[in-house]
Amino acid sequence: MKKLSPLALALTLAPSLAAANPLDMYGFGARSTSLAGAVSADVHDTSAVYYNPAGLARLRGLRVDLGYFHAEPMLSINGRDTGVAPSHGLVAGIASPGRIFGLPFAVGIGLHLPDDRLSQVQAVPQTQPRWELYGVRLQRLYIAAMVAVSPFRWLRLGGGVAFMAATRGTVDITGAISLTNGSETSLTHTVDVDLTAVRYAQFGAQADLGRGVTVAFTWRERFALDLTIDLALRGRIVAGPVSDPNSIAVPGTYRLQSRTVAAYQPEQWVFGGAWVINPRWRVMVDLTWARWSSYENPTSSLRTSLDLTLPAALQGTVRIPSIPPSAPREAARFHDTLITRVGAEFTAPVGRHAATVRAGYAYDPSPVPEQPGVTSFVDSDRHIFTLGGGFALRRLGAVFPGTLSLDVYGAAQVLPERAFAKASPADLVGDFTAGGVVLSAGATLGVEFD
Amino acid sequence: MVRIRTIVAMACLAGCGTIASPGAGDRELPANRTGPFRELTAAEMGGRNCAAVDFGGLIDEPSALRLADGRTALYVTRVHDEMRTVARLTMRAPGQQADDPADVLTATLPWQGGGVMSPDVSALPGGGFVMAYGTVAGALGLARSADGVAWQPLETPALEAVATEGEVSALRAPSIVALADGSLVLAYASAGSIWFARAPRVGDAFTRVDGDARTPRRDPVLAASGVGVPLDGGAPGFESGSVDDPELTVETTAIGRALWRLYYTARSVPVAMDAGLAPTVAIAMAASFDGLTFTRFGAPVFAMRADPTIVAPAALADDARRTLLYAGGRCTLSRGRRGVRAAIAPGTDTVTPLP
Repeated sequence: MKKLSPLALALTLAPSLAAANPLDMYGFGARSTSLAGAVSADVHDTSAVYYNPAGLARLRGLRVDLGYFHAEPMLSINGRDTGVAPSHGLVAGIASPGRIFGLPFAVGIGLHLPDDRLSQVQAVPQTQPRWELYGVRLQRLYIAAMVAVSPFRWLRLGGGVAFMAATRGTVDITGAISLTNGSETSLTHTVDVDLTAVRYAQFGAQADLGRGVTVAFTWRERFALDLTIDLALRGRIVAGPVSDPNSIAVPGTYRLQSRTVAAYQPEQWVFGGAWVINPRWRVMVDLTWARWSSYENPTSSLRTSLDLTLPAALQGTVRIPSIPPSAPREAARFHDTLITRVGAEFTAPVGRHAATVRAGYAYDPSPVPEQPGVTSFVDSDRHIFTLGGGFALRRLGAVFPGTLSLDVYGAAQVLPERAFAKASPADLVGDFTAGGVVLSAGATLGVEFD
Repeated sequence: MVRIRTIVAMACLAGCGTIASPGAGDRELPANRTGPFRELTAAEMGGRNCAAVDFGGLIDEPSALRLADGRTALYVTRVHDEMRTVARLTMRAPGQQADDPADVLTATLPWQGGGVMSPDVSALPGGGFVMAYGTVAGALGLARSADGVAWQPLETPALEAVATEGEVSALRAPSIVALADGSLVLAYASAGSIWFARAPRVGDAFTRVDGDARTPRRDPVLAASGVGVPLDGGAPGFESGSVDDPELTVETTAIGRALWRLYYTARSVPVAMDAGLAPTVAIAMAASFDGLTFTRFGAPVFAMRADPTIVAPAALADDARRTLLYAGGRCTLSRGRRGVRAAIAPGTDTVTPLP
């Protein structure tokens, strides 16, 4: 258990970043992103750690990828920009192939590292409109370690875990509160914050069917990141000198427990296929079923209690007020989605090197239902258009015994304007419309040693 | 060795890329949130407690109108020299310091009873303005103006109290809205309830609206909620005593629906307080999609424990922000003088005072 200062706790509790999954939203690696993420059956680099770990078994030598991405949301509500924070940072991966029991084998690590914050949590009232899948929810660290093996020439299997840290904190305040002399009030506090690792699994498989056709399957486990804070205020409320035993003292305890879902990734089942038509052309498609229906209202749930022991002299004359119950949290009622991704890649040889052009499209329907009640989760369907290219320098001789590649991409997520109608005319937020565009771009430099 | 050098070089590149920049995303997203309101601080109002104070008299019951040049005109009841008049002030932005009040309407007709008050002004779709006002005699009147400064009262009252119509006390605190077709909707208070009347255009007779056609009598559009419901932790409900001072707004929502919002002063039945029995006072809101059946929000949109005298709300929509102007005390250093105070929603916004 790590002991943190109150300042550190305050920083932990302050509105800072959390997460849906930034990789689901913005992709991982320039090649895979420029193909709209439709690469579960045809992933060639360390982005296999995310898209399909089975793809790591395709590597012929040590591979290192390093890239940078920037995503700029331009999202509006009622035509006004909502100032959703951009996401940007590093993507990196390293994978090493080998053999185990005579079978091709590979180990890979992937890293998505925002350069603003590693993680941020924002807990807001359920009545406050918020872009539920953007902003703070997309700025978090992703780190995963995967292994892959190829038991047959036509089959590759992979799996591993990704990591996050959940936060559990306690704040204990003890002492005496003087009603008659503020300078006699004396409170001491203790703050404990636990950062516990959260692991969630991922598995994948690729099977070559011949004639350049590969089919694939990937499963990603659901994970929810909790932020739990317990506050206890124990002490005496004193009327009169604190040290005077004849002063009226009311001992008591106030407890508050808050729990927030700070990050969430739905369980995902991905089915994909790729067809290498000839050495120049290849096309691919992915269908992803995302189980958003298990998403719970991310609003902080509060439980409070007040326990005061009145001295005999005050009983009957003083009434201890009851603590009003917290507002009930409305169910999120998100629904499952089926995401369609398609991509195409054209490669032209340039001497012994190669130049590549890529394009992709994805349709990602919004899991957010209508919002007629007290919640105002904002989202819209996403049409994702991607375009990219790359250049691979092969066999550079003694200077560099391998392949050096540079891939770039640009992507536009178009969110058509969506109308939200409130059932009650007295709703303080009222009807609203939401939509916008998210532009992103990135580049990845990769080396693969022979 | 080549592999190690390459990996080290890429790690250095990674280090160069991790330069933090300030983030955002912790702001409340803009929406037409109309409460709860937060009172503006003195710092947000240029060091003053109130947006408008009359040191030569007393101003009360504000009504606000956005002017074409971006300023806001305030019409208020002004009590001075033992008279009740309607005065006009202007402020450069909602909630900011207003200039001195100037009388724009005084009692000149016999049925006004020697005093006019409780003004509310609406812009007419064809140009010009219409004012509804209360009178000392208990009738409601209308006045017309081309520029909002010079007003001409109509010769006859717009409405007089009719007991068989449920109006068993004087009519007061009118609020008027001119719809796009030129017709008028008049909201007013009587007998602790809020009533509506309609007229095809300025100068035509008003027809009283029955708030519930299912009953044989005429019903108000909004009445006190009764002693029994709702209960606030054992205390009488915040609007169990009376509803008063209506402020009616009609707007089109982002998806094209007409939305009628009715802000009002809500009083509880008298409860035990430090100095005896008195009602609690709060600003509340009800709304409707059809202009007839109103749904209460169910809680005050603004209340001040430190100032239980707040009344008479006026609401202004200003992009994504709502400003509530209302009459309250604590305007001067002695904190005794009443004036026009201001609150905003969403409360997370901050207002930069004008120089």
